[in-house]
Amino acid sequence: MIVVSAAWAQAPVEPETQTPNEAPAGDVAAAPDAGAPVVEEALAAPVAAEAEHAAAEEHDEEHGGGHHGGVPGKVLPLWTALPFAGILLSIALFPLLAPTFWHHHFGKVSAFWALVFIIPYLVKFQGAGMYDILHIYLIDYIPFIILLWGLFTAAGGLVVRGKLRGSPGVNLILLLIGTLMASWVGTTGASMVMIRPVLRANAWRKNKTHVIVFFIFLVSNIGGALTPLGDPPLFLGFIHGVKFFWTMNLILPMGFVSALLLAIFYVLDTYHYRKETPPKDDGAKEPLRVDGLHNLLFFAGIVGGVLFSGMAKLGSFTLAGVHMDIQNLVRDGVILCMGALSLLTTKKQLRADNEFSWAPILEVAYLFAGIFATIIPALAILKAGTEGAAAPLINAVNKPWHFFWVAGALSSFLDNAPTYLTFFTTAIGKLYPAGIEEKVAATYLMGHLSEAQIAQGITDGFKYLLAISAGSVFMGANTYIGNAPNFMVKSIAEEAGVKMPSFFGYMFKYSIPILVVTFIITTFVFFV
Amino acid sequence: MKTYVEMIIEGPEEYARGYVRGFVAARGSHAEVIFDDEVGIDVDDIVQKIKGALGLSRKVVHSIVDADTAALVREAIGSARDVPLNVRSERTIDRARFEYKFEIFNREQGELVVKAFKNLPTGVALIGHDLHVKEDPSARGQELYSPAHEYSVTGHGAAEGPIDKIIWLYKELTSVEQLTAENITLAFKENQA
Repeated sequence: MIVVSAAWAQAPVEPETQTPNEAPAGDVAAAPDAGAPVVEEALAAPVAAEAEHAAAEEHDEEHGGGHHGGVPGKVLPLWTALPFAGILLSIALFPLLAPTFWHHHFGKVSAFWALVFIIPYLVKFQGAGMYDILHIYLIDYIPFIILLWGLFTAAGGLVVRGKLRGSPGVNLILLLIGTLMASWVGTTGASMVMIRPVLRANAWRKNKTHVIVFFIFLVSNIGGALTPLGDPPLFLGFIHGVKFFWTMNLILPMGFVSALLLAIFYVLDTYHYRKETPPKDDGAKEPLRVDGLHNLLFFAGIVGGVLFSGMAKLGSFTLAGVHMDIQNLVRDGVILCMGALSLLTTKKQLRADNEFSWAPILEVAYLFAGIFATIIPALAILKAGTEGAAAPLINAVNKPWHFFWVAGALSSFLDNAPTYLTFFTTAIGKLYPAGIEEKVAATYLMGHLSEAQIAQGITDGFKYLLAISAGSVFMGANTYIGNAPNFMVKSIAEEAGVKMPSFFGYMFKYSIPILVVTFIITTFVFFV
Repeated sequence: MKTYVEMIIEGPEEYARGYVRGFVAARGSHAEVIFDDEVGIDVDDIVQKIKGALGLSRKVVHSIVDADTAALVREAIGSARDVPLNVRSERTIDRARFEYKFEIFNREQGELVVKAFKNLPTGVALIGHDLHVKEDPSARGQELYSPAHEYSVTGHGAAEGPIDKIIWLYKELTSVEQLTAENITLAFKENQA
């Protein structure tokens, strides 16, 4: 049954053609914004200038960056985002409430929510709706899956062997290595590579649950903050115009949070370690070594491919009405080659030792196929700013620390990649006029403004983007469902015999007293 | 079947432990001496419970020993000079009981628990015991969003029987991290509780 509301029935179907310099500057100022230094009249000119600059670079954003060929967000009612809420809640709740059902049917659930959105959307908006769907799959979904596949494949060929004794010092070093690794091989890859050495080192200990919990905090989440390869939200940011090395700006908050957590871990682990009876088989220690090291070359290739796409301009073409940049296709091709080379050159035994399978990447592919379809109206509405149905939300989040906590709180319970994209778009809708080119807005969000632009009153979005990025990446650690590797680590640890806390046990015993308190301190240091 | 007693000794905790263990060892006895916090035996003294939980030194020690050894220890403490210990009470243990629940995903540990419940020590009975072994080959390997387990053993119940057998079973089961056991509660012979 397809139900179309009055709001849909009245919606104009023609594509949004508003150019940046036609954007109503009053949109932003109309919001009762206490925190964002927006000067309404100054916006139109610099936005136009930036648009000209973009045109000069032949970087065609008319189709690629915005919704110019798609359905304008201001005509979409809020309930069109219900399938998006449905799929995110399904991912959050089914593994907890009906794990066996979810294990066997998650693909069907994802397809269900996608179709609940797609069918009425296409019936109502036809060509414009089709453009939106093709656009998000070609520009966001496929590169996203290719990157995760490449990182996952290369990480699956790296095996850390050896057996250390899990003393507080050794555990601290293992966590530090994992944290530093995560930004370059992805939080999933780093978790997969490092969790078994950590479990082996601590197999003799009775009290080791906290070691795995801090592993989830640091390696599976916070460590991924420094590059777009580290955590899926940041790669989505990269696809949407955030420069590759901009995320290095997170080094201070990430370093601060990591140092604080490592210090707490060391104290806690020392307390537990003192209560342990040391193992009799001390002689069984075996130094760490890494097999499959040649896979680092493929990681370097992936980094190179991503960097290349951010710097090169090789022209563009249109596929089914969607603007495609050739350098992005080169990037995806390089990543696919790196993954294929990793598969061809890595001994099968190494992958077997990692218990490597395609299951995780297939899960991501199925679920994100649904997420990326259903997120279309949510992003369009948010991008419409105060003209859209999400105006109350946009008016409610004003200051960077609001974004840190709102993006973070939602990332704690919903997957952090779509949450990042949602608030990235919210910030654009909030700070800049409706219709602004996304990559131009991304430039402002990165804080890349000339003195003239600052003088003209364009909001420097640096702290906003920093807050959204940090909130989405860091607070994925708040619950098991905040970020994909959390569940994987929990599951591997449980199969190794570790007693892991329940969903609420994890929150009340660890994340609220340790992480949330750390994030409150971080808020005052970096985002207020 | 041996008779066991709970002997409550007043005095500095470490002194009492050392004295009793040293006494038994010096006699060349193989009698086992167990102190309440070493296995997880419930004591009915709330102050001692709190102190034990906080890791504070206690002034009262609950020990479990066979009746013959208990008599010797009592005599030794009573006749010794300059020993700051006093046997406050002795109660003959009738039976012991503990409750457990488990959710085990490690095959080796799961099989250990299944085996322990299959081969129960003589005199031990299970009450409300429930155990399910589930295998799902499709859940093998790592998963991100649907972390089902290939192998799981879940269950709960209570075990009741002679104290020495219950302690053995308790130690065997609690070596598995994913099994949670409540403290052992003791029931005493009539007129002693």
